[in-house]
Amino acid sequence: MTGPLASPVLRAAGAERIYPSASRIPPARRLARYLPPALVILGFLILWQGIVSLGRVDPYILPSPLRILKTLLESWGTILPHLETTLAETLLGFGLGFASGILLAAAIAFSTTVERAFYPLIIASQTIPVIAIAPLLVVWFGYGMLPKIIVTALIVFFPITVNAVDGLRSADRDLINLLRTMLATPAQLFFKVRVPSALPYLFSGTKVGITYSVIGAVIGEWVGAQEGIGYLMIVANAQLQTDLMFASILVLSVLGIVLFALVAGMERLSLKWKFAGGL
Amino acid sequence: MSLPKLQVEGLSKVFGVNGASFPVLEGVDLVVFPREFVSILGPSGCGKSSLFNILVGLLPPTSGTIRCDGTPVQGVSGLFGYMLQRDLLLPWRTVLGNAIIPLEIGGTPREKALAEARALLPQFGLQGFGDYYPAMLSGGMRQRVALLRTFLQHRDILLLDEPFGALDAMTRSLMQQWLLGLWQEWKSTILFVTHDVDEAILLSDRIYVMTARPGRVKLEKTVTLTRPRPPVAEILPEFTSLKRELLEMIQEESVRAFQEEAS
Repeated sequence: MTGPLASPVLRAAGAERIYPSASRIPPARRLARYLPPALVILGFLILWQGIVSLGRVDPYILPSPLRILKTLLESWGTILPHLETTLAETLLGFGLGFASGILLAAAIAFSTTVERAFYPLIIASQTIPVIAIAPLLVVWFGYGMLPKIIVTALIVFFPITVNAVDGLRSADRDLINLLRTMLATPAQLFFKVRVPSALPYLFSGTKVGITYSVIGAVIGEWVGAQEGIGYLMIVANAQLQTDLMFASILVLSVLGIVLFALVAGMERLSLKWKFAGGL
Repeated sequence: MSLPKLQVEGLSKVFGVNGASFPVLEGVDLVVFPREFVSILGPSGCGKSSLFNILVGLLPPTSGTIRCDGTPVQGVSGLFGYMLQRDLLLPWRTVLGNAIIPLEIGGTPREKALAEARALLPQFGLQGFGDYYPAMLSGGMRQRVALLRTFLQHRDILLLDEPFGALDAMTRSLMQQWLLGLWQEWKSTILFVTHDVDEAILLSDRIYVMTARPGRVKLEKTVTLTRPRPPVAEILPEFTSLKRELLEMIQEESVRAFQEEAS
């Protein structure tokens, strides 16, 4: 301890060293952090452009980055409605998977009977390739949005459930006992200790889940759809419009990054205590 | 003296592990009178923490009785303010948010609870830190938040299980003096567990020395040093002779425990 010891009786607040929040990063260090990856990506794009331009590669084999960008801007009117469909499927599927994952996790955390009954089934469900069930879902539910939502939910619920169960179990045993001696009810223990303890885990699961959810929606569309970015890719591929194919991949990738960033932002807001700096 | 605040009679605890039974506590008798500061001193593994867990009702005793103000107590009674060596603060709550947990559990409206806790911050050396998260505080400050939370339970009896055990020597000394001030002002009854002989003598009116496993009361000593007791009391002859006696007792028990474990 390095702080000055002011008085024998600890009335003075400054008696011990405290650690102010260290959340602000100076611009120079920020540059040092983001510059290397930016340069690597830029170098990769220049190399790609150079190979395609100098090697006279046919655009249907490999379009150049500039050509992909041009196609993206020109076809934006075509892409946008498909993007809306895929986004809707992604969000609805994620919502369904998230909600069922949370409910299942709470039930498992509360009752060992539920855990014994369902846990093997949950794990078994993940060993079945979703891509194998997707055609079945099309047979059952047709070409609309529903099978895509179900595929997405099936993919999402697993990381959510597993992380939420781990999180709810991560609550400190001694802490629970201490609050029990204060006559806390099981509901109070759940909401004051277990749920907040689970949040960091839940956010980890959600970050994985939201990224998978885009993939789920697209897999669903590949199997059978009339609209959506996945559908657009199938059509573009069939017509050897490789530039449109790449533009679609770019759109999906950006969608995934944006959704991930939204969850990460919510995480920072809800877990202020974790990001508040300190020792 | 008046009627005992807390009375423990013939308390035993046997843990059963795979058919074998391990006695942890054996016929422990002790009393604590109102406003008294009593310490339990013993080598590690003497069942001090089990004793506290039985008192607060987290662990059922194998036999024996516990009385508070003459009334038998069983299970989680909520009669004790309990504090451990680990501060057990909720990392997602601020200092104030942590302090008001017992009030919140008891159903006090949030605003009223916050006002009560805020008014006590200066006395606990936490003024200006109400909105800080535990991760931003030093070990000593975190223990003071934990103690503030314990005081806000408004219980007559405080059970403190090595509350300063994890602190450095300098901070611990400050905290001891401060706790004594608090104890006198709040007129609480304190049962204090420690394995630090100096700490036990400096703080207590009476000291129980426990034996190694199974835990039994080996000796009861009244500390006659006058109060207030500044840190320099530790070099008074009265202090050192008592310390010598207690140390020998503990040494004997530690050696016995060590030999039993080795055999």
